[in-house]
Amino acid sequence: MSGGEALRAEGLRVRLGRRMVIDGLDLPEMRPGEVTALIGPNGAGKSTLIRALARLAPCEGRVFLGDLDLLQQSAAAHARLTGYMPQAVQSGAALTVLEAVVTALRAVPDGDRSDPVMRAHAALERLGIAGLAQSRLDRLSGGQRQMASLAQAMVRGPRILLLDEPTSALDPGRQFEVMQAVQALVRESGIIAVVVLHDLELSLRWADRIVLMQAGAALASGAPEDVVTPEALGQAYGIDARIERCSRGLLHVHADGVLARHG
Amino acid sequence: MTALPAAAPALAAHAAQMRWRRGCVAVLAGLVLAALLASLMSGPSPLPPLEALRALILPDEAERVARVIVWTVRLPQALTALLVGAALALAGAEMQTILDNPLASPFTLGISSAASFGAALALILGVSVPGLPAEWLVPANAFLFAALAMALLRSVAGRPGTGPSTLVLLGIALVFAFNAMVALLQYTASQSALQQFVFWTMGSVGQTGWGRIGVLALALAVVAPLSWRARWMLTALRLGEDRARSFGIDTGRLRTMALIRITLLSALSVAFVGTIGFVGLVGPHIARLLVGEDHVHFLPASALTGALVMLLAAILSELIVQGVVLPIGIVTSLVGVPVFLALVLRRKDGL
Ligand SMILES: Nc1ncnc2c1ncn2[C@@H]1O[C@H](COP(=O)(O)OP(=O)(O)OP(=O)(O)O)[C@@H](O)[C@H]1O
Ligand SMILES: [Mg+2]
Repeated sequence: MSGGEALRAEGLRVRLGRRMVIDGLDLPEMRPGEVTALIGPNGAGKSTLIRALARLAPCEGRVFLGDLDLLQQSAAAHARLTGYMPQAVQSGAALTVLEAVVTALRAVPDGDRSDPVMRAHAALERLGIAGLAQSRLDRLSGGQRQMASLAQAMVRGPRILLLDEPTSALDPGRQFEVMQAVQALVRESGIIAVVVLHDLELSLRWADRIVLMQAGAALASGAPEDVVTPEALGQAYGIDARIERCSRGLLHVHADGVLARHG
Repeated sequence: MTALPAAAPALAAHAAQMRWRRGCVAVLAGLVLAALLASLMSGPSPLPPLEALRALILPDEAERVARVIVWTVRLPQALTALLVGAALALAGAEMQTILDNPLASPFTLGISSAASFGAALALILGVSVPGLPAEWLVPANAFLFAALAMALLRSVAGRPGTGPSTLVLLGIALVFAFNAMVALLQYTASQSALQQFVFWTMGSVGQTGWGRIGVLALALAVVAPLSWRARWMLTALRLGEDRARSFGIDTGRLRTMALIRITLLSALSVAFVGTIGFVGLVGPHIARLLVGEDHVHFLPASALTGALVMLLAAILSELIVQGVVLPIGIVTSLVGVPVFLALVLRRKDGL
């Protein structure tokens, strides 16, 4: 839909408290219609990076969407461009799923005149959770909560989707559906998606590009099969891994053991 | 809106839910009006409904006694109860939302303790704003100190990265600090000053007048529309801090503005009728049980519930002991607590 304005992020530095959590990170160019997976061990700085791109963490460096300097935009303008889904989905709110998604539309009006309830309902249908519309947020299962959270991030029609482990609490069927829905949306609407994943097979299956993070820096980035190698996995996760191509051409990762961890 | 046929049962259910909520708000408003009329009728010399109504609407045609009772005693007291109840419950609703804590009330953050200290200064040491008429000394002092406490909290709330827990901790520190200073004053107070102060803390609408009612009404007229304008942002805050910020909401500013509104409402209430704490907690709770937390309905339902609870407490305060008007603060808690517990416990069972 939108002209091919790519997202570029260079020289990112994020300081949290006294710690430089991300120090001089460069991301590959991310183009509309593509899914970039962000993988890496616990504490590597994936969530911090996503939050920095969502302008929820203070960030230095250059982040450009085409010619637009995203770090210089007003908070409201930046929020119109991005949809963010947090890793921890807390909500004890006495709201229904539909209401939560309506609230996402109404909190800061975006000029779209169509009925927010209809838009919200359409977003739920798209994710296959219209049946949950009238369920209370504080009475959902962990996975249902994650689906409701994803709907809130997607509904405002952002140009950049920042999803922090959207599949971590989902059953295998839902994981597939969610990644499929994200990919379809991204392809149709020319969205740029950055998705944190721990599941290597999901990353290999659904991402157009993978960034492997370690200790606040990018260890490797590029096409999935170039990044997910036994050497890289050994270095990042300390696992002894084999990677095999199955008969349908998909890559599979087998972890055969644990190496001594460094770092 | 296009009417979808059976294709979208969720939409129909949602519409029904909205109708139920609007109905709840309308019924609450009706009950508030009924309670207002009832409070004009009841008291040491009861008036039949028609006579109370006539004295209210056509004062020239009513009997002199009825007119005097209604216009100089009962209506001012009833309106004060109504306005204070609405103000405290609205303040409580916003407080619970911005602190993400259903146990918060306007008093959690030390506003009432600060107000008590101000009142104690006036009642015990005779220290107050110079040049004010005598009946405004205590309220002026109470308001001043409540505002001071809030200014302190506000300066912290505005700092980036300050979440609800920092605010609550600072508030608790303020509660202890002001309570200690109040205790110190009480310790040194004369018998009669102490008695006056204790009576003040129990809460009473007996000291009211049209001037105070005007001030309260004005404050509500200014604050309520501002709360209403923030209704969707407040609802979004219930979805989480990061989430709200990712929608483009400046949560620090939202909290600060809410704190200012809360201070104005609760400081004025406490200043005029004493420390009536419970309404600010129970009003939003009952509203939440009835209409949920979408602030479009939650805010008005809270304010109306608060007004209703206070009006009922005002009526009961004259009925419980024949010939004696109990302090309304005591009645609010005595009557409110069982009702409140019944609601909360029933909800648990219903899950
Ligand atoms: N507020 C903070 N102050 C200081 N350090 C922090 C703060 N938040 C996170 N960190 C540190 O930053 C590092 C990166 O955290 P981050 O949450 O980005 O990791 P992650 O890659 O998302 O991990 P996970 O896979 O477990 O979600 C961690 O070492 C963490 O301890
Ligand atoms: Mg994380």
